[in-house]
Amino acid sequence: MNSELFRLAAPQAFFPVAGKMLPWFSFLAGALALAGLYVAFFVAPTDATQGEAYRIIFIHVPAAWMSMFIYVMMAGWAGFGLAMNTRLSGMMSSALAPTGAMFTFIALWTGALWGKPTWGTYWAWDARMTSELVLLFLYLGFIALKGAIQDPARADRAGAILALVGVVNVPIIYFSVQWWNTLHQGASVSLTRAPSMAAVMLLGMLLMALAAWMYSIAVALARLRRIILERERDAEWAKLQRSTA
Amino acid sequence: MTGFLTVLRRELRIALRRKGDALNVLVFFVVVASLFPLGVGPEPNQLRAMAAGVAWIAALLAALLSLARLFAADYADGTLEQMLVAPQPLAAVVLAKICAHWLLTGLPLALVAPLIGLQYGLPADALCVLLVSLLVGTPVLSLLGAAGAALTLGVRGGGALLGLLVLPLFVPVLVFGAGAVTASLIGINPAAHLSLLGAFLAVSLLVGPWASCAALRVALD
Amino acid sequence: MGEAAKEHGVNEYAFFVWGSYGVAALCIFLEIYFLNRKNKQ
Repeated sequence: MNSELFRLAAPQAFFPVAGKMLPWFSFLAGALALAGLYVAFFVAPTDATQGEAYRIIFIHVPAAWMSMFIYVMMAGWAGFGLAMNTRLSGMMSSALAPTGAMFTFIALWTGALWGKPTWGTYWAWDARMTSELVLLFLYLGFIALKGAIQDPARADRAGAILALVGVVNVPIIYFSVQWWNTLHQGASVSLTRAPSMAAVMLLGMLLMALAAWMYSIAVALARLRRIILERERDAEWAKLQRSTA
Repeated sequence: MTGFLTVLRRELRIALRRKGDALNVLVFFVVVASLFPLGVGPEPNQLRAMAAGVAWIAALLAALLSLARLFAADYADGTLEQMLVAPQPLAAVVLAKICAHWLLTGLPLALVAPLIGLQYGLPADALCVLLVSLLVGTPVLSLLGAAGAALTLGVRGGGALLGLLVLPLFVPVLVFGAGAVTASLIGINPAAHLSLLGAFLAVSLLVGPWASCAALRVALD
Repeated sequence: MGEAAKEHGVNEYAFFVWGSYGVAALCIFLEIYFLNRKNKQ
């Protein structure tokens, strides 16, 4: 088992495995998203106070969860790669970053469109929203740093250091913004009153969250395959792979 | 320890020979802070309310400007490589450079800031809090900024990239630093803000030099 | 919460809901599109 894992840590060995896993995760993502959307739009009843607009949370909450999970996973892979000097880990963190940034953007966008009809404002400097915005900046910094360094090995290690510093900072940033928000209480809107959640809403959200997981894994695997091919372009097997693809 | 002192003395001596560099950062800080009222209007209450934020943002930008040069010269002429293979630990060298950076930018900036506060009509106790918050907070800018400077060493588009990397990390400093002044303005004891700022300084003291050393090793690999 | 909700008609809700899901779908579409396009090179 252990030696099998070590074998898979080689990009060349992981490439076909990722290719085999890809359709399964894509299929699961599509099926779960369809089920989740069905629950969100046809099963879940209209909310008494928020009307139809609350249906946004079925995409907003899973996207917000994913944006944070992916950052932690990215930092985890990056740190693992830094400690163990495995090439695949760095590629994995590169493959996750754009998807994480995309989910962060979706969380911000849908949050704004949910906030307008619910609280009467697109944007409030609330701790959660502000931290999410800073998280987007952290993703963009990570992607920009990796893109600016030519040598892939150096880019991986520099990115890993940045991701680790960032992951230490995210909770501190959240806490500091929350602290700041209590000081300026008059200016902000209280966003703490969450609507009480019915079981069917929870089901819809769970399905959508699972779909987001599967989607992230599928896209990360596809991007990982692309990165592996790019980095190993001079290796014989990669040339063969490209000529047959 | 001797390594630390040697590097610190060297950095300060170089800075003394090029006084313009440190002075420019200070002038930049004053100019940025002085331009804000021209943009938002001279209403005294409004200016008083935003004084701390303006001083802190100007300090962040000034730190950012000077950070780009923190390792660049030593990297270009190969001194950094020598420091890496020298017997004294790299952490001592990095800490000395961070220390020198703070002495040359953070400290003068903090000492000038009360003058800016006067322009914005801050009362005396708020001026004191501004001074203390900058004294506690600017070392964080040097510590975390050094990591950013090391990460962007020899990378194309380094300046803007450095801003993108480190400015989000400075959010807690900005919040606690400016918040301390605002708190004292509205009659709340700023001690809580300042101790949180101190706690963040302690965290940066652990994270900053580690990340800088690791990033320098990567850059010089 | 209730007052803000009453200010908007049903059509406005459609704007918010479709604005959310539409942009999310667009993001996902773009991500997959660029992923596949780069794969072919």
